[in-house]
Amino acid sequence: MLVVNNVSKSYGKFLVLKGINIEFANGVYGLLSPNGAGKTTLIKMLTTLIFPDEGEILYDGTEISAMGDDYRDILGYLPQEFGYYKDYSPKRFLRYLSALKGIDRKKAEKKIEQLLKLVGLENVANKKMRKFSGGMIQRVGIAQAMLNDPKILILDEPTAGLDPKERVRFRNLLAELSRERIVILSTHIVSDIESIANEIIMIKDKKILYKDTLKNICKILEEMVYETKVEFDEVPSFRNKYFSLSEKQEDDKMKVRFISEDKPENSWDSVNPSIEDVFLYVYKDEIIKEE
Amino acid sequence: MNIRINEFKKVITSPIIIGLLILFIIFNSTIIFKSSYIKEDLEVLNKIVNKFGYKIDDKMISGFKSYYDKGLKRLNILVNERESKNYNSVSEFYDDHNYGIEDIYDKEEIEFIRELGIVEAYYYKIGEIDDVYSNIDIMEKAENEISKYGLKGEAANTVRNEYRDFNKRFHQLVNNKEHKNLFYIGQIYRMHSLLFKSLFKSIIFEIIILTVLITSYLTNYEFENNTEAITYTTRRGRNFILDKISAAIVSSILAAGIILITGLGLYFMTFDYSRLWNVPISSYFNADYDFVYMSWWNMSFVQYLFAGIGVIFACMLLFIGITFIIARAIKNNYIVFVIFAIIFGLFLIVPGMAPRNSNAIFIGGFTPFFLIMNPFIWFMESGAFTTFKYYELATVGIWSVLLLILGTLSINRFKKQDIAR
Amino acid sequence: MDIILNELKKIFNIKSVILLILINIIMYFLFIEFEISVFPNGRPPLDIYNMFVEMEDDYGEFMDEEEFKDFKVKYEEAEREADGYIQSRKDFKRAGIMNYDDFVNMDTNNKELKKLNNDVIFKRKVDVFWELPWREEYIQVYGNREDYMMSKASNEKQETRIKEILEKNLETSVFTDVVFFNYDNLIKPVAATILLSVMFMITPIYLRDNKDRISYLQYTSKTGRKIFKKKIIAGLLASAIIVTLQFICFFSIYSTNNTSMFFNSNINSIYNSIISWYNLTFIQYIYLTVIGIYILSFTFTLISMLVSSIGNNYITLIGIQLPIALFVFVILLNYLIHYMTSIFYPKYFLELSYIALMLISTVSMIVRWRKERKTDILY
Repeated sequence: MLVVNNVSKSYGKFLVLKGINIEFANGVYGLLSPNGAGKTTLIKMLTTLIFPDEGEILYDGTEISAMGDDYRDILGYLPQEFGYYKDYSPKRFLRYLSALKGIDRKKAEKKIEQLLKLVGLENVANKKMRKFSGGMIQRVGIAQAMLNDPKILILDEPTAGLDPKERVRFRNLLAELSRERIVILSTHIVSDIESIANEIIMIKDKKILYKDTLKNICKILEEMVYETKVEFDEVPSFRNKYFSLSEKQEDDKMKVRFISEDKPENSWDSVNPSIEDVFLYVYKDEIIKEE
Repeated sequence: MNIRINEFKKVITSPIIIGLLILFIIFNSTIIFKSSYIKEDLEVLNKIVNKFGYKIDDKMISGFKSYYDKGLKRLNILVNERESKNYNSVSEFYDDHNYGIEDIYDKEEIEFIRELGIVEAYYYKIGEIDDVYSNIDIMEKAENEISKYGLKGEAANTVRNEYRDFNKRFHQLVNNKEHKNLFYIGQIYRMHSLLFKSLFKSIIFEIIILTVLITSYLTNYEFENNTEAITYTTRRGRNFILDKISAAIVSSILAAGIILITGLGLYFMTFDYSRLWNVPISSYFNADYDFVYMSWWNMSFVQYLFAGIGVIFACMLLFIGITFIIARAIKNNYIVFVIFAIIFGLFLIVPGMAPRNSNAIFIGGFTPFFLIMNPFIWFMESGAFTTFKYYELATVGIWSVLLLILGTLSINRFKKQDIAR
Repeated sequence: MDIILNELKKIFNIKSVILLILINIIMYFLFIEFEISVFPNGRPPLDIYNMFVEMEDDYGEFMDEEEFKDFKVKYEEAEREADGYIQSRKDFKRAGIMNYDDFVNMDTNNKELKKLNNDVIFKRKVDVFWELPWREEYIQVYGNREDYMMSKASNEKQETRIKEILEKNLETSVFTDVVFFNYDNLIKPVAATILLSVMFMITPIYLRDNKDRISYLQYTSKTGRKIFKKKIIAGLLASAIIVTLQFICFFSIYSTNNTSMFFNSNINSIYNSIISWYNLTFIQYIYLTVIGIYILSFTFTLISMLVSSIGNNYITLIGIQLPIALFVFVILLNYLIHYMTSIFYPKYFLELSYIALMLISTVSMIVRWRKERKTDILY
């Protein structure tokens, strides 16, 4: 059990997170919020790269900074913009990291072979990474995060830069890896977590806004999400009246998906809210702020 | 050109460049300050030049002689008065007073004697000139140089030919009486070496360091910051590299200018050359360390100074070119710098390895690396390897052409190259 | 330790090693080669060297009064040889030079006589004429050696030390400045080359990983921030390897100068240019310079690592390391490697300086390490 207890963090005078309380048990958690909301800051605190100004982070009751090596021994981390040695092959790179992770050499060799197979890189195990595509590099990143069979696996924007096929592959991989461990997936690509997250955590205004199952979070917008077809020239005024979630061209008209708290009109179809709708709704004032 | 201004700003806001500039200015100042104590002695010459001008002709000599004789007379009156002695010269006087004169004479008198001693030095030196120059045998110097370096065959003949040319110039120099001009006595004050060796060399190396850092920094900036994918795909595109080159040139000129102005400014504020600007650089008095400086052309001191500054700027541009070509090939600024230093070293060593009997041995001297090592003998007779009338111009000229070609090739290659990760 | 081994491999990557070798080759040919290929350098150093080899052969490490008498005899023999040579030449007879005495006293302003002088000395390079003036000089010096030594003192402490030397007769040691000066001229550029090599190889050590954010993976692994300490160890090991290899090369090359016969001679000889606070033999002095250089490389390894961990790009590193390097080569080495233990420096100057350097670099590194353990990783 990983517990974040009343944690706050500022950079100089700029407050990023305040009074964050979360409990993580085994399962997949989606950390969903726009960029700049504090996702990366939280993750860096969980991975000991930065330290909270207030509050503490506990694993099984002990503060992680007091645990020292033992905490990182059970940690697997794939950072955003994952750095690597261009002249190394994935095998050599994983060997290097195994040493850092304190894994016995023989065990490491076996594990490396397994993992390279798991991420589908066994054919290029000895090729220099400078020749790899973005997706291949990410897969090396996932492999290294799993080297020590971590109890806490933290992935920061792991599918950024992957094409849809690679993203599907990744999702399947993750489903397999998520047994018997805490997996924290930080992303703003909703489809990544829709299918696999047990709970979704949304951060807003420096605090935790929601931490709940997908189903429960979507309930916020129950009976408020509709779809209807609108003539093209009426779209702008429509947008002014209702909060538009998405727009699609269909049969010479614009199919608009939107939120309304009023009584529905006949031409409107009520639809089930998705997590993406909640995301847009919850953060709409931040989007407006930017415009 | 906003783009170029932005590139330029990258340089002038770099704390490292500014920090190094300040460090270098301080260092140059210490070089000057260490020798600043002699500036009072130098005033004596200025007094003499005020009275008699610096050109040494019969009129000047007779005027100067009576000036000196008057002084000597005054000295003897004083000495007679205090010690009942008489001396024929100030050096005789000093020889006899090994244990100091502070208890016999007061401050003003000591000052007077000291100044007279300096006047005497100039007087005697004037007397030496004809003798010294009639003993100068240019072809003998050539032979000395040839045996010093063990040159044979073709190489030896080349040296002899060049010195034969120089001999003609030497005779011209003597006829023009360029050597017969007063200047700060080199053998005592060594001003030529202070300015054109110690100060110039230090300035040159500082400019090289800044130039290489600036050029490398700008050339590889986008790759360092992972912005190559967005900058080289704009409308300006790969021509952006041209903006970088021009910003490198402008900022290097600025940096070099700052170092030169502060260094030379401080130098000329400390040492008063105001009456001596037009003294020919081949003046006998310039000679320090057994060297008699003889230039290929009739140049005044100020002309020589500006010619030297010109060479410095020209070489600086050459180094920008060299660094650019290296930086284009190697994206790591650390390695670029080290490779530049290695190339520098190689160009200094390899010339010495050519066989001593072929003309190939001279080729190695015509590089900017070799050229900047001896700024105090530019445009002058300077030994077997650099005594060519157009040595400096040829080196700069050849390398300019070479680097323009190589640089253009490098840029063209860049325009066609893949810009990968 | 696997981790340290990996870090060592990163330091000794093939590109850097090649550049390192090139740097060493260039430094060798620019600053060192001359003192090796031309030793002894010209005349009279060659003659002095030969003289001292002979003295060491005949008299051992010291030349006592008995042996000095023999030295004077050798002088007389040499003089007779010179006389014989002069008398064998008709042109000398014609000029009125009958023996060595005449030769030495002749008026070199006279063009004819100057020509004869140059012929013997510079053109034909007759050995004995190069030797004689120095034999004479050395005899004179030996005769006045007490005064000669004492005149070098400019304060009481130096006087006391010189008296100590005189008491033990160390000044009669058979050791010449030709050998010592040559070693000093060699060890300074060798020290510079070694320090340059160390700085070059070590400086990228932290920046390399920080730039590419590999440190994210390192710091979040089990080893965590301890990697910082392991890099310190790897760096120190690497520089020890570099320094040792370079010393092996240097001393192999130096042995071709053939100075080993003087290894056990005391350096405080009147014929040498150093007076030391300590009774060192030549080989002990050599050991001292070696130790000094190891300490200096230790210090500058730490300093390079410090700079590497605070800079954020290579230009910054070069911009900081360059003035440091220039300061070391132009100033520091002249005090810490040049004429070590000379009485013209205060007595404990050397020890204090080295200790100060080690302390400053070690303490700075410890402070840096402490900071790295707690600091936010933000880049």
